[in-house]
Amino acid sequence: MTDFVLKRMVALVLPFVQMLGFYVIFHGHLSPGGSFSGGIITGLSLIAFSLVFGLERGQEKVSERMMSLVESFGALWYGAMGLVGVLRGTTFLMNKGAGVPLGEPGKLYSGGLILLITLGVGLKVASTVVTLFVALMEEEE
Amino acid sequence: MGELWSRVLQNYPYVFALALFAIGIYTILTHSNLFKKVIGINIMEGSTYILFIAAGNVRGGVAPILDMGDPGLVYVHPLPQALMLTGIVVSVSVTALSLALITKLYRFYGTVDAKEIMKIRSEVRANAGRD
Amino acid sequence: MPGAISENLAVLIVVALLSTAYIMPLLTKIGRFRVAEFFAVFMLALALSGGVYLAREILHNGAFTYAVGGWPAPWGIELSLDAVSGLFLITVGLVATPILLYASVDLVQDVGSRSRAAWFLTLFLLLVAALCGLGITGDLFNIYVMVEVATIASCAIVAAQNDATSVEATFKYLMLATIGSGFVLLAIGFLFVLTGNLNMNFIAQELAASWQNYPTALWVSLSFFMVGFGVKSALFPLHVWLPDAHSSAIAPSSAMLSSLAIKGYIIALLKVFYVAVGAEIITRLPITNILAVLGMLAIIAGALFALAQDELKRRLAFSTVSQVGYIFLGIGLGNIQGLTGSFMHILSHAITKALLFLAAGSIIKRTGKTRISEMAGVGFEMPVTLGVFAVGSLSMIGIPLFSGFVSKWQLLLGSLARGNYLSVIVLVGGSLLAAAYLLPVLRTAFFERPVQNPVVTEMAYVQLVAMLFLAVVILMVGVSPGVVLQLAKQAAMTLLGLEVLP
Repeated sequence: MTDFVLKRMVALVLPFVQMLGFYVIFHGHLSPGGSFSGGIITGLSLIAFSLVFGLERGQEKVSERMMSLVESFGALWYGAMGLVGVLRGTTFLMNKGAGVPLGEPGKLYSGGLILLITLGVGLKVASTVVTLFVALMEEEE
Repeated sequence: MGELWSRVLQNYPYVFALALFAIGIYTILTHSNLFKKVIGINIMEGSTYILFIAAGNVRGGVAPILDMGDPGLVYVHPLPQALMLTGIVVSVSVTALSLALITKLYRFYGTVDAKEIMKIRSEVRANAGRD
Repeated sequence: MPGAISENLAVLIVVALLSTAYIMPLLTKIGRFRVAEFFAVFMLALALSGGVYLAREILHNGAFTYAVGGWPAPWGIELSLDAVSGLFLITVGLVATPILLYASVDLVQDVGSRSRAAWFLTLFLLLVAALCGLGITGDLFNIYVMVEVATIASCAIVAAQNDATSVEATFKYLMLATIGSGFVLLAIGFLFVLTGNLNMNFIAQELAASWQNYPTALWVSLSFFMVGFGVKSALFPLHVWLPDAHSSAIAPSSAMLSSLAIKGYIIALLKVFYVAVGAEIITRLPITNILAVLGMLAIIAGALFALAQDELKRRLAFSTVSQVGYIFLGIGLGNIQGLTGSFMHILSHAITKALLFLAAGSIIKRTGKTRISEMAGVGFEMPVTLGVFAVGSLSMIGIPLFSGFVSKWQLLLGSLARGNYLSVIVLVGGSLLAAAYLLPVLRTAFFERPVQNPVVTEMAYVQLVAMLFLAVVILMVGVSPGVVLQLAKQAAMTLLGLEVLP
């Protein structure tokens, strides 16, 4: 792909797409969307980069190794957040009852652990989408 | 008889859901193109989303985002929507897995048509038997 | 701290297995692959001991529930820990641990590369975690999610070998299994519309009060459940995917799928029918009779199909179709002995079929022969492998002192208690047919002289230990079924809603 306009446009738009992705992830507990939608948006931005600039340059930016690390981290992070409740002597995934401060309703920090869990799931979804894309692209050679 | 029809019409989302479900299964079972089978899966899963969302709908209800300013608002049931988000994730992963399998099958057989794959396989088996 | 662990044990088992699954690629990239394998086997053994501990608690102190996240039942997800979950956790642990131990020796060679082997471990552990989750959950939608995780993981471990046959079998399996889960999800939707609940105990309360107002809708929902779980657990006319998928995968995958994966869906079906809908309603509907008839058809037809196969693994795969019929027959009988027999058969068939598939995989791997007629004299070359194969065969037939006898005896008692003499004939006939399709393997292996001198050696010690472990469990359950049988009986009583004495 040597399309100049396409490359410039993608380079211009991508940061905003990624920002939107993280915005959706962070506001999952306040507005429509959440970790899954936000993670997909973030992942798609990386896929768009690979599509326009080629798979190799995309791999330079975020390597497969890095992605699988993030993927495992996202899943483990969820488990760790769930264990907070167990360690505080209550049940798995317990939020308020485990003594986590809930914050003020309607503000960004509200809902205690939910924000942190959403972050982990969002990272996992984003990296999974990219890994899937890379796996399917590599099959084709 | 008239009462039955009016009840069916009132509950039209369920009728749509079941019709779509049947169309999806028909597509999976009758089309020999593997991609069309995957499309059939997505139609089938889509029908279940309609069923659940319709079950959680309240006529005149708004999206279930708590609005402190207006206590008189009627909200739709948020649970089916959350469940169907999970359903969408599941169907995305099934679609991804089946697409990956299709690319593999294409590499092995050079076609994405189930009938041709069967033909190639039976030829291979017949040749193996002759040796 | 010990208190916190034992209170949350049920959820910790699932979470630990899931986390271990996701650590596998990391461990392989950072450390040595052997470390990852050892860690996976260790975690499975830990899950097994956790399951045994839970089952003991349930047996002594009765069933209890666990609210995830501290949200009580109608709002949050509730885990219901009764004898059913205890028995199934033990089954999963007892079978999955030796299978993974067996797999770990040749895994890299079997699936192609180290990174692929790491993903195989991930999928294997995901499958085990999903099965454990199916055993303990008390929530309908949770069942759907666990069923899907199990389906995707089992599809992927069929394709692990990465050759044309197994990939094609996987695709077929995936299509049919997805149709099955579509039916299950639609049926869950029906129950949700009817009762407004997803928690199984609450659904049971709602239905008990109002099911006569919409019997047709309930009927549709139940038949969708039957078809959906029937496809996934290879109930007779819906079994078409099973022989290809189970015979083309590598030995540990076949063992895992044939012994455990299909049992998870049966447990889910049992929970939906007897817990969510309730024994009161389900035994009044003719759906249990349909299950019994299909079970009997499966026993006979599966065994006849198995007789016609010359490929060893295909014969074992069709034998699974036949043996699943026993479990469905027990469910269909709907009385306490029948259900006890079903639960015992879930355990005993899981152990036996895992052993048979591992032994068959060993024979095929060492000799390169897949057909039974070519296996003359293998018994002299691989005495231990064929010895445990003999133990498995005798248990599958239902010879006394082997675990298969215990379950078939209970099923026989259940049939007699119902006065159903046709099923008595089918049970005995099924055993005779099982003898007819399994004993020729032993005859060929032990009583026919090989053409050339023996060149084949036994499997690695670890693999022999894994198979011997399964054989010893078969004998232990067969000789003194006491505690396990009590657990199965208690599970049956829980499902039928009878008073369980702690």
